[in-house]
Amino acid sequence: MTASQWHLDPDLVRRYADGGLGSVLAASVEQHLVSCPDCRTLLDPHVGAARLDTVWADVLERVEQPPRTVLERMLGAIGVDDPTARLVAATPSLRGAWIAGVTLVLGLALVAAYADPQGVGLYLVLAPLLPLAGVALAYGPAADPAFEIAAATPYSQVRLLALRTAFVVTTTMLPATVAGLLLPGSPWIAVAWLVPGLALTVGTVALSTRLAPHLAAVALAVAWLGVSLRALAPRRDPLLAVSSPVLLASALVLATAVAVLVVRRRDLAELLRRTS
Amino acid sequence: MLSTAEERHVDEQVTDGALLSAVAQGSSAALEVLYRRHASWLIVRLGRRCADPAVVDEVLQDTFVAVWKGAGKFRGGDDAGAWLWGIAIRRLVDAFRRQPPAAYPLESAEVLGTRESAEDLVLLGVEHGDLAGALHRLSPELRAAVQATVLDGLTTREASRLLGVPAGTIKTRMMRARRVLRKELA
Repeated sequence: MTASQWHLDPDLVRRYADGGLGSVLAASVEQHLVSCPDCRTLLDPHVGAARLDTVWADVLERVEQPPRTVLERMLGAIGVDDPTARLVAATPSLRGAWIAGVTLVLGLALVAAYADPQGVGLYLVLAPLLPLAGVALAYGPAADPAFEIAAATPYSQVRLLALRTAFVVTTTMLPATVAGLLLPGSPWIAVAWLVPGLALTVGTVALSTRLAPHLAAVALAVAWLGVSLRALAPRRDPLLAVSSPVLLASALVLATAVAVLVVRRRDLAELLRRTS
Repeated sequence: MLSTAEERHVDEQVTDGALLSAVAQGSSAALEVLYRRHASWLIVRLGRRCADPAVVDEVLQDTFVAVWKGAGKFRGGDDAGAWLWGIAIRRLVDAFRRQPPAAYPLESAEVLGTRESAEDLVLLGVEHGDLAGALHRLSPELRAAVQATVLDGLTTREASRLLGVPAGTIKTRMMRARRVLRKELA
């Protein structure tokens, strides 16, 4: 009798599967199983079909998922769970084209600032509009190809909007702040626009309880241009775009918007559920 | 439309190697055939090294997801048994690193008490000569170390995670096991 003719018998297999076989004999069985397809099939009756089907269903779900994007992996690394990461990553304003647009606008503002002292004013006027535009594009049927799916998902729409807004604000405000640090003059410029920027962003979300998000964004953008360009025009000092009255007004808008959101969070949820 | 028996017959014609080539091309159907062919013995073998069925199921799932991603790396010919076990045991080690097990299932006194039948021992003798008897006289701890490093082919570090003891302990146990075996087989 040679080793290749040695095969398992049903009783040995049963004792192995039940865990009732000593480890030396079990090791022999295992060494044989690794290279004998016929004997491996003897173990099939010892494992429940339901258990095998459950594990297979989980395997199938994982292999049929589209691979995770770089952004989703980064979100996962900071503790965001997988479905949330996928919904956030589907945000239109987090896609490559949008980020390229932000970089272009900031680049132009930098060039303008170096060409002419008035250019700093251009930066201060444009920078707060970036997160505003990002948020306007972050949600709603006009902007989001996944909107129908997002709206039909049993997932808090307000939470999704808040998450997306937070990520959009981060991805626009960080590069804009870095660009501000590269501007000639006081480093104060880099942060001076943050208050109006936040006010416009949160204001858009608050107004979205009444208006479509893009309309709310346009209305606020026009208002901001009016205020900042007026402040800028007469005395030709670019920093006036974010002078104390402007900052104070922005802080007021921010506080009002936050208050509106807190009071109307139910309306917001309702609005977000409607698909038009 | 094929009957189940005919389907199985068709499946049996295809070697593991051919299935893995298809998996590497993105066929989840081929992965399923491979899974149906190998899941049972992998579950039982993993179950002898991990007492928690939930962990075993998770490891099996990880194993076939890893097969899905790494099917192109298979260079083993027709049968993938050894290759699959190599992936599964390492996934088990990974699972133990994430969540160390309460205790590695060493043999209970009851199992130790049941001696293999005379016929079993003869069969073992054919395969392994005196080795079977010698292994039998090792303590359960030493035998587990031999099993993890020699039979499962793990590194010292991997074996230490699997058995839940420091790597230094595995080295000492292997040294002692080698000494005992050498004396017994001399």
